[in-house]
Amino acid sequence: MTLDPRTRMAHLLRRAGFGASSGEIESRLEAGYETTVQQLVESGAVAEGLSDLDQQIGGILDFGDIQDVRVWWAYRMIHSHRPLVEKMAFFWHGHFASAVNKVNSPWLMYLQNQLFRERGLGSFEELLLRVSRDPAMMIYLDGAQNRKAHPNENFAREVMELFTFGSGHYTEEDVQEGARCFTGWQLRDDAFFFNAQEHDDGTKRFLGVEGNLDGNDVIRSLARHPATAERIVRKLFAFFAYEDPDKKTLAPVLRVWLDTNGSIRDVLRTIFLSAAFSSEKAYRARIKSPAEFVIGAIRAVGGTIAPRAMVGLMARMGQDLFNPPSVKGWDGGPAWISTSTLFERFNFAASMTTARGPEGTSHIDPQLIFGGIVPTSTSQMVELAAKALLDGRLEPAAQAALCNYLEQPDLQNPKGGKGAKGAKVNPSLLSADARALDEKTRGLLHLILSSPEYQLS
Amino acid sequence: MALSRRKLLSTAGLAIAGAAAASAQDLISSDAKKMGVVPDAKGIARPARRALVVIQLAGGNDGLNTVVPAADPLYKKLRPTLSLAPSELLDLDGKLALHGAMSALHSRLKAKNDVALVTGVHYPKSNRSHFESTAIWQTARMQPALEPEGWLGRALESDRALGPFGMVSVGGGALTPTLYAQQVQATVLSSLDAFAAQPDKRFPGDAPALFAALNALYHERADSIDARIVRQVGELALASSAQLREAASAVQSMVPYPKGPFGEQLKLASQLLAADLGVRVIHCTLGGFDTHGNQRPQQRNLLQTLSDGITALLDDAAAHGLGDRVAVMTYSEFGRRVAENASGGTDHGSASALILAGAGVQGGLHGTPPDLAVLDGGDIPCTSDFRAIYASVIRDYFGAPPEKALVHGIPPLVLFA
Repeated sequence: MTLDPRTRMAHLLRRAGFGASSGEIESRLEAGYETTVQQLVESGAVAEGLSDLDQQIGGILDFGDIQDVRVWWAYRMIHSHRPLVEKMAFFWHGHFASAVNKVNSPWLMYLQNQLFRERGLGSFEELLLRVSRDPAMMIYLDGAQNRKAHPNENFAREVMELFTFGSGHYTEEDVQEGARCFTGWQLRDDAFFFNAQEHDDGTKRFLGVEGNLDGNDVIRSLARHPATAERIVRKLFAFFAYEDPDKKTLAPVLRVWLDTNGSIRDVLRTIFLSAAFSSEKAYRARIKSPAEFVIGAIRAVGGTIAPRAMVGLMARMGQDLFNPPSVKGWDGGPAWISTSTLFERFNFAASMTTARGPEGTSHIDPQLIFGGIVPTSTSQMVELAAKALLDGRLEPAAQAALCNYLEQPDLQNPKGGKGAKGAKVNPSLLSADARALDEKTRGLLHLILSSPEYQLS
Repeated sequence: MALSRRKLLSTAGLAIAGAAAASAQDLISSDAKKMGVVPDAKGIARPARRALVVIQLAGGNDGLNTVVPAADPLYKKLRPTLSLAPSELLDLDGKLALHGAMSALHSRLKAKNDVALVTGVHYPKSNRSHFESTAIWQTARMQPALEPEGWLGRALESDRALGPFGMVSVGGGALTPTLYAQQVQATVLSSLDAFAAQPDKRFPGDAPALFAALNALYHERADSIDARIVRQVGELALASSAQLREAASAVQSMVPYPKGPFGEQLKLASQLLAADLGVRVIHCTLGGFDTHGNQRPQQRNLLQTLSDGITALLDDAAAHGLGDRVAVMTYSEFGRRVAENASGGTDHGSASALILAGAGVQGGLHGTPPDLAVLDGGDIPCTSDFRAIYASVIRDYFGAPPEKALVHGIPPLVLFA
């Protein structure tokens, strides 16, 4: 069973980006699904629309401060017209994980992020090669310490275990020999340089091949290995569609990888256009990461939220951008949800939906969720908000709970309630009293963003 | 997983009613003699149940500078700058000594003899990856990815009297894998303040309606979409927030705790234990042990925080009448190499030292003392499997059969009196 066109579009924009407002969904629907997929994957054809942000670099934003780098990225996630570029940067940040705690240079973390942005949709081999020479990665996995006399195995191990084909395809000898191949790959003034004197140019034996191999040979053989294709395609499919696809579903995607030598752009196009991606099985099959939850809520509701607080809250929800817990990245999935992180999500929803500052500070206009329609009943309010935030897919019991909420009087604000404690508000009074309408609409958004359904992508 | 929610709520209901009498089949308290029976505040007799506070020393604690082979001449030779001088050590048995920063624990050992120091603890063939070795320790499985349940989650999940606060992870964020279980959800909290849904502060009069709706959204429904995990955890959080906050905030700490986040964690742990919420296990974390460089001052501060923290927690428990029901255990993913490196630090190694203290603990040195003449590739070899300590905790501390949670063939160490 496939999704109806609007739900399918909203689903695509959640997965291939960080969600969208009703307005964006409508205009993308006019362009059509295939055209939208094309625009997302051929990102170069669309302007980013972020010239104002780039002007702030070095001025308002200090890239020697990791908190500013986080703010900068969160801003891009919200506003870029190339959502898939940011989504892939986010994917690669989790895959090629490096943490500022060890790298200790916000600027190098920024440069690594730009690498993911510039190369994240291109050739996997090219990306892997550049990641191997990326200064932040070389510090994080000790590649910069790799010397002929004392090979450091950290990068050689992780590039196989985590970045390419995974365990089961290499031996401890491959780790040791791989480390020898990478010797001489060093940093000078925070940039990659090849120190021939520290390179071991003896004969090595890596994955059964013998010769005077170097790091480029290792990267090439790993990137082109069929098990790497299988593992990365599987991971991309799980990230964008659903976990554990069967072989038959994965086969056409794998074919594209092999035919294009690992062109990420072509692999993603195939996934987005597949029947599996637009199936009920894929729909709401993933738990939103904190970044997807926070950015998605802001994009869907509209408005402005103080960015520093925003990235701080993501960290409390378990996702401290630029600081993943290990080289494995974030576990994700059910691990995002604990009693502690759920309260953080509820309370982000509360603080966001009750932002009432003047323009230029944290501020949202809750009525925007109704898309220009003035609702005439509480059930219509719920319906319109659920359409914007949950593709209109709300079970009757949840619908009833939300209507009931709107109809309960505020016990200390009888103007909106006009009645004794416990009496139902006449729903029409809600639209007649601007203050009550504002209060209840914000409450409604708070509840929907806190709902179990909204935690799913 | 469908079973757990009802189970959680029904046991929560019982606990609220103040009648959380353990079932006869309750595995964990099957050893009723050991547990004793005490009346609670309302005079209702129920088994006094032991609780364990587990402290993760994240990063890999250098066991050799924790319980130190001070009399071994190789010690100073292998660690020319990192070895501790006699003035920095507290003697244990004339051969081994405790790091001088741990004077609080040392005094406790002398006075109460309920501090066990186990040396040479690890597993064969050390995995030097932080996250892989941490996962091995947390699951007690050599292939954690295949069996992700935590060792304590596995040990406690079939305890039918385990309430919603049976397993608590303090510190916030994701659930620690140590407490992960298929059948029950552990509670995670960063602070009492953050363990609540906040309403719109401007409209407190709207809060009752808002919370009623939030609870309704998280009520499990047969026709619900596949949001089960979110729903279960959310329902647990919403159902337990008020009870936990009310009970724990009523408890006053009777002792000072070390300043900083770790002291806050222990203080909160102690409040939860004294609040009579049915807590069996609390997991806390002290990070910063990955001392590749400049180890000396870092480890000294950390060990002092640890030692002061453990003794504060145990003193606080005793002041609340829980002296015979609370014990503490530390763990760390690995120890560090014997030889110091060129940066005044040590790199990832193998066996380390582990501390157990409190109720029922047989104080003193346990395991095989480190012999620096017999190293395993530059590491202290593993002479006591960590699973033998887990087995001891499960069998002798909790009174449950250790085969519940552990692989067969590793007999428990004798660590409890």
